[in-house]
Amino acid sequence: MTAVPADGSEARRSLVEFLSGLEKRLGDLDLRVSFAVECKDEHLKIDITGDDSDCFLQRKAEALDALQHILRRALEKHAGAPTMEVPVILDSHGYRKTRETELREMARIASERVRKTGTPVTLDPLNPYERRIVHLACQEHGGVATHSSGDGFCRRVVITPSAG
Amino acid sequence: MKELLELIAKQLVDNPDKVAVTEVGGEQTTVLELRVAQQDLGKVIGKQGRTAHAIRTILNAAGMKVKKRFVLEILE
Repeated sequence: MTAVPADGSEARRSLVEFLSGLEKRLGDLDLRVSFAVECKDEHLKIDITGDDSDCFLQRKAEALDALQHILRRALEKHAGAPTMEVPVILDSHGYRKTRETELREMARIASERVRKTGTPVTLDPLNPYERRIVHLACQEHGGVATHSSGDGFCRRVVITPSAG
Repeated sequence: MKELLELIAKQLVDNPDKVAVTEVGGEQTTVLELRVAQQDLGKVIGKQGRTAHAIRTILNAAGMKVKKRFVLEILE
């Protein structure tokens, strides 16, 4: 554990304790990782470092998103009330930024194709956060409209030519 | 792995003292049976099984070095 939140609210302290427990348990499984907590205005940014931190980034960082989900639920419980969206961002090796760049590039290429061919393009399934990035990126390019279709883990962004 | 699952489960439930994990070992696969209080079942499963899915993903990522598959079973 490299940092403790400056604002020592009870819920955050519990979360930090949980993270140090995780470090220990993962260490028992021969995985060397450590969590650095950074307290920003209203959200917590947690960065995973260490020799084995890659294990969170495999298969489109599914373990990173999984642990982020658990941390949000845990913080929600410690906070005592069901908060709308608990702002915990879990990152490792700048993955979030890299992924955003990748998604924006994907959105740009797909929008271009839709504009040229006039036929809709359906992207691979993405999580809500990733779909949001794609929707916003497509808006910037103009000439196309976007919506999502499908359910749960299979929800995809569909890019269509805009009426104008 | 048992301890890791216990740690995660205790973070999610209202009755941490009711959390119990038993490990049923096999050749390549280990089954982890998670027991929680009945009113906490929803907490470890989550909406559309999202939390259960997240726990399974973490167990498999954490099992990378031990080269085993881990199966999570949630029992009442």
